[in-house]
Amino acid sequence: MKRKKILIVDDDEDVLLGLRVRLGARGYATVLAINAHWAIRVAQDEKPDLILLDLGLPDGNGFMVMEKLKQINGLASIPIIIVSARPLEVYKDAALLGGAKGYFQKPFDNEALLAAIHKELAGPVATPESNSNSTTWQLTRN
Amino acid sequence: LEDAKYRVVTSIVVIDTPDTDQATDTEKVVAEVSRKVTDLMDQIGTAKLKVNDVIKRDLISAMSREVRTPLNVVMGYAGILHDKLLGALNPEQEKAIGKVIGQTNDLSLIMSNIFETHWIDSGTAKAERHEIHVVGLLSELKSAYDFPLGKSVRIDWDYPADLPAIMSDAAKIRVILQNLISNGLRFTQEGVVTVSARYVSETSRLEFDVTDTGIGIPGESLEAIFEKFRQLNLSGGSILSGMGLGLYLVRTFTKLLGGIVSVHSEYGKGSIFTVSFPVARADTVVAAPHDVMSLPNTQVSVASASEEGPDDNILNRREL
Repeated sequence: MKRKKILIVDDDEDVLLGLRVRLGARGYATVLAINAHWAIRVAQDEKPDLILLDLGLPDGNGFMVMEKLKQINGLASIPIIIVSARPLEVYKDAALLGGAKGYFQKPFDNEALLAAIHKELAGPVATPESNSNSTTWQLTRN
Repeated sequence: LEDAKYRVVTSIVVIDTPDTDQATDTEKVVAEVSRKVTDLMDQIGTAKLKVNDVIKRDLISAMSREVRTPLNVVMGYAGILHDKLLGALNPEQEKAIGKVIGQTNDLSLIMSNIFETHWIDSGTAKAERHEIHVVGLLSELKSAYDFPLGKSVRIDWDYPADLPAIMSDAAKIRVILQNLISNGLRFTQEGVVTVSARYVSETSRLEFDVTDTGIGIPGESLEAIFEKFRQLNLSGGSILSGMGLGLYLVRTFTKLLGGIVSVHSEYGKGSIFTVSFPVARADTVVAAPHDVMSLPNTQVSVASASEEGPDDNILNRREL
């Protein structure tokens, strides 16, 4: 099965690297973009299956990137999940209205983000590694 | 006009109109001008408050961004190390990274509680309705606590694997549970914090219990613990750490979801916090996928958002 490809757009290199390692461990291929300009370029060149998009970018913002992608043939239907430090109380509704599939506020929960990605892509080759050493796990009811 | 005394409080001008109706035209004009100045100052005051609100909102937004961004990087890298995605760790390293994650989670919760409280105060807090897989949500939360707690306390998770998908607000439920767990861990030196969940089909309610074997809460404090900035003041006079926002948010968000929080505690033995709120099962709902329940404008109307009525009913004390 071909690995699903995710474009990560964030102006913070550490966020890009962290997500690349995390997503790579779950079997996803990743491509990275550090600003709005490169987000559009890489999306055109790489045709990712999903985009994780920051809102605050040095040469624009995530809303602008979403609008541009919508106008490009073949890119308009790529699911986009916003990952931003901006308060969701202010930006989430606008992001969803703009076509985003989800809004994760930094610091985000890894498992919740991975679950949302998984849901959008409907099942990549996922091998959860982070849950292997749970010691206090119990299912006593029922 | 006759018996009024006009004082422009922030300036040195104090005009007392005479008691008699012999006031001269000049005095009347002065009084009128003085009244206009007072009105104007009231308007300036109101405008200033509005500007303050905007500044405060922008400041909170900027602060939220500036704090969340580095916190996100620290948590991202710590998680990657902890999950051994960059290679094996020796036991000391594992313990160290567990400490980093634990402390960062605490810091993150404190910061997020401050921001959540701000959104409540500014009337922006709202509960959404989207499909939630409760088992998924609990297992995400469980993995966030999957590190050594640094004392002889463990967290047990106790819920059926067939909890239904429901329509509610995952972010609010997460804040409620994180704060109850954090509260349980803080007040338990030894023993177990148990998180359990059930769906009661007869009443269509989702219920969570967070039980601890900690110090417990004296009866007279049971109501006060849900107040904002209120912390438990022990008999020895020592106030335990914390901001006093966690349980306040638990109660406010539970109300926002239309539910109630109850607490049952025995001093010296431990406490049980139960959160119960009505939910629609996702498989029976044909509504729009992204409803929003936006009720509160002030804290007072947050209280009225509860289906259970007035404030004093919110806290159901039960006997052991």
